[in-house]
Amino acid sequence: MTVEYPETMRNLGSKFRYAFFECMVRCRLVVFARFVLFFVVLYYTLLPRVRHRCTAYLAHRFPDAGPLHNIINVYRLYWTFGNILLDRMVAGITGHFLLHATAPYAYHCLSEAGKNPKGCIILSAHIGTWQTGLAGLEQFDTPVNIVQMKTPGDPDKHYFERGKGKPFHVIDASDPVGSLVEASAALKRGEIVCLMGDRLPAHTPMHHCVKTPFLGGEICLPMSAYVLASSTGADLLMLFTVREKGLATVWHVEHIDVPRGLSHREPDAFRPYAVRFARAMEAVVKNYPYQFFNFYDMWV
Amino acid sequence: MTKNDIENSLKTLIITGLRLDDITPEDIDSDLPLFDTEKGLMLDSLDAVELVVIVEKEFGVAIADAEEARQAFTSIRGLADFILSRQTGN
Repeated sequence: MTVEYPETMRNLGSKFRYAFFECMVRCRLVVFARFVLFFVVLYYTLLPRVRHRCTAYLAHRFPDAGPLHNIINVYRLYWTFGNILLDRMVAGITGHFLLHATAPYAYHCLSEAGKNPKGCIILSAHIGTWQTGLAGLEQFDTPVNIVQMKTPGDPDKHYFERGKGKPFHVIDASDPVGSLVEASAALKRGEIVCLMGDRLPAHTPMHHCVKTPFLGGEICLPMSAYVLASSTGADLLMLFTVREKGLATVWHVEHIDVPRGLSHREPDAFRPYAVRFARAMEAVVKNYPYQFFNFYDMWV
Repeated sequence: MTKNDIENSLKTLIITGLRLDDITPEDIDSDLPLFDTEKGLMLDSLDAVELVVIVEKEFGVAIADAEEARQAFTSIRGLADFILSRQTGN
């Protein structure tokens, strides 16, 4: 049995809309782009099929919300998402990747990330400013790799490759074996490897997930990051960055100590780490309910 | 180590290292695919992570990227060939 995602995971914006916003950003009309975004989001919010994409999350996050409140929640969720995509576009085009950390502890953790000769895995989620935040890791002078699906022609993922700077190297997750081998090799070079801990690439076997409680239900989380850490001896840091006052801000950094030699054939050994990750995600969405961007029903 | 030794050693290491409890080295044909989803040993991406570490630890050979993984992880024989070629520098 493998993980399959519904049609609703498809990208919201068409190439034309991306081209329009890109043109606005290149013409330094970001404020105007946000003004247009207001109406684009309103249009999407009125489409039942688009509202349906976040129904599962909103039902778990706001179980007592009535129909009107639900529509407002959908609007706020997509509005935040749209603004974060615009921020990402601006960062990709200008080549300025800034990551703000208000707590000195966060800076310390992140600056230490590249000092383990066995590398560091940064485990994040589709929350807040995940991609701009991870791009901001370039300031710590250790090469950064991100494991993600490299879909040809997908306009929203490649601003970091087409813009002025290339803050990270993308390891293509569409080859599951090759991508994890490449991730292991990068860790061996002492580099940073970023993985998403909340979503599995499509067609991943279900036995690569562990079940964990999340927002009153149960979700399946991938265990690849924990297996990598246990096999390679790399450090493992959980990192969540959120959009706060328009800035990609570190909200949570936590070191997870995974012992060496655990086998993925005993998934229970990895469950405590997945549970910790889910708890941390829960804390983020309790504080930033409109910054959770898994637009499908992830509950089992 | 001869190629045959490496193949036999790999079979044992894969069974113990990847905890394939229900098979023995004799059950593994050296030409069986390692990572095919329908036949052979049917190993998966998480096995690959552990196998990379085993190969490096036991044979001192690193598998650096997806291309090398494709070359090395065809079968036990293919992996033995890869290890030998890296050890001898060919």
